[in-house]
Amino acid sequence: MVAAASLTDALGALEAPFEATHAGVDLQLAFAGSQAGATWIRQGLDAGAYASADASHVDALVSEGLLHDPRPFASNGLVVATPAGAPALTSLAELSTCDRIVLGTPEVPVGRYAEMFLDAATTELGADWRAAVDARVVSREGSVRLVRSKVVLGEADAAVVYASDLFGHDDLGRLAVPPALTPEVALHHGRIGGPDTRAEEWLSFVEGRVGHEVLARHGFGPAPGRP
Amino acid sequence: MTRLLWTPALLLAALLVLPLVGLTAHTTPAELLAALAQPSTRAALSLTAVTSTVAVLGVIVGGTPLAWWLSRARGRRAAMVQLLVELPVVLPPAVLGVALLETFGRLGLLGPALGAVGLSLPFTPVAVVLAQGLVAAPLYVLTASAAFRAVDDDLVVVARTLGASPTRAWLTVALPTAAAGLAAGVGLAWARALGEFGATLMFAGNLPGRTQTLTLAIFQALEGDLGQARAISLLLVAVAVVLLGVIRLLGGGARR
Repeated sequence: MVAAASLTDALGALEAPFEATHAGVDLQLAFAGSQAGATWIRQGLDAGAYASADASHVDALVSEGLLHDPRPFASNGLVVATPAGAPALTSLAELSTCDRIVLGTPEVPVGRYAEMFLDAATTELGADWRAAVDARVVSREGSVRLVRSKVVLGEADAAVVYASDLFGHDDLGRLAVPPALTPEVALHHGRIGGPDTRAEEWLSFVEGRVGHEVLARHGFGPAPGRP
Repeated sequence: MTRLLWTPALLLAALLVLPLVGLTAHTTPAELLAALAQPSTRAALSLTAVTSTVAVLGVIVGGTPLAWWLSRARGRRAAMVQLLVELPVVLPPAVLGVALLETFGRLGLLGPALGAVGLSLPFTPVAVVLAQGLVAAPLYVLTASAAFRAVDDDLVVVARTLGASPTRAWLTVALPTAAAGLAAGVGLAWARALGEFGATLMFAGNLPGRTQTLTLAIFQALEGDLGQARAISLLLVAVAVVLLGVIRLLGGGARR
C-alpha cells in the first residue's frame, strides 16, 4: 500500500486492527508525497493499492491503466501552522508579516492546494499581500510532513498544511483557512490489481466503520458528499 | 583468471556501467538542450556554480594549512584530528543535515547566538555553502595532506638555510612541490560539493533560484518533468567525467 504522507498516522493506526481481522495478512505501508508515490508505481513498485491527497495523481494513474476503481474516501482542511511558543496568527492578513513561510512544491498536493488557497485569498487581501507572501516563501518541500517538520523545528514562521497534520501537535499554533478560501481537499484511493485482491479488502476496511472512526479521530472529514 | 572469478567481476562492471547507458538511452541532444534552457534548470545551474565555488574556495583557504599540519604532526592529538576530518566522508549526508540543523538552526546550538546578531542560516544560500563545504572539506584535506607528506623536509630546510622565512620557504618550496596533489584534492572536493544533496535538502530547504541546487532540481523534476531530471543528470555526468579526467592527469604527472 502506497499512501499520501498526510495519512501516515491514520493508516498506521489502522494497520493493527486490519491485520487482526484478516488472518495471514501482513500489511506493508509506504508513505510519501502523493506525486512521489505515483512515480514509484509508474516505475513498477509492486503495490496493491494507492491513496493520494488529491484526485489529480489518482486520475493520472487511472488514465495510464495502472489504477482501478478510484473513489474519494476522506476529506481534509487547510491550516496555517505556526511554531510552538510563537505568537499565533489571528488573521490571514498577518501571513505576509511572517519572515519565513514554507509550502509544498507545485507537484505535491499540499503545495497545489496552498496555491489555490493563496489565489483565492488574493482576491480578498490584494496583490500586494500576495507579493509579500510570495517573497517570504523560503522553501518548497516534497511532502506535507516535510513542510510540517520545518514548523516543528521552529525554522519556518508559518506553513500551509492539512488540518489532520496538527493531530498530536497541540503545541503548534494554527489558523484555519476559512471554508470560502479552502479548495475541496478530497483524498482518493484505488486498487492496482484486480477486484478479488487483499487490496480491495483493505480499501473497504478504510471506508468502513473502523476506518471512518480512526480517520475522524486523526482530523480527517468524511468523503465529499457523505455525512 | 578463471571463469569462476570473471563472472562476478563482469556482473559488477555491468552494474557500474549500465546505469550510465540507461541515462543516455532516452535522451536526444535536442531534448537535452531544451531541458537545459529551462529557467529552473539555469537558475539551479548558476546557483550551484556559485555555491560550490565559494564552498571549495573556503575549503582551500582553511584546508591547506590544516592539511600541512596533519602531514607533519605526530601523536595522539594528530590522530584524533585526522579521525575527525575523515568522519564526514563516512557519515550519511542525512546525518550531516540533521547535525547542521541542530547546530545552526533557530533552535540549534548556535541558533540563539546567531539570532542575537540578526543571522539566520537555514533556507539561505549560505546554508547551501556550509552543507557543500562540510562534505567537500574532508576530501580536500585528506588528499592535500597526503601530497604534503611526499614533500621532502630537507628541501624546506635548505630553503631556510638560504635565508627564506618559514612562510616564504613553505610558499616557494612546499606548496609548489605538492601542487599537483592539491589540485587533485580541489577536483575531488568540487565534485563532492556539486553532488551534495541530502544535507542541503534538510538544512537549506528547496527554493528555485535561492537554495535549489542541481541535485535538488533533479529530485523535484523526477516527480514532474522526467526529461529535465535526465538532462541535468547527464550534465552532472559530463562535469564529473571532466573533473575525473583532470584529477587523473594531475595524478599521472605526480607519479612521473
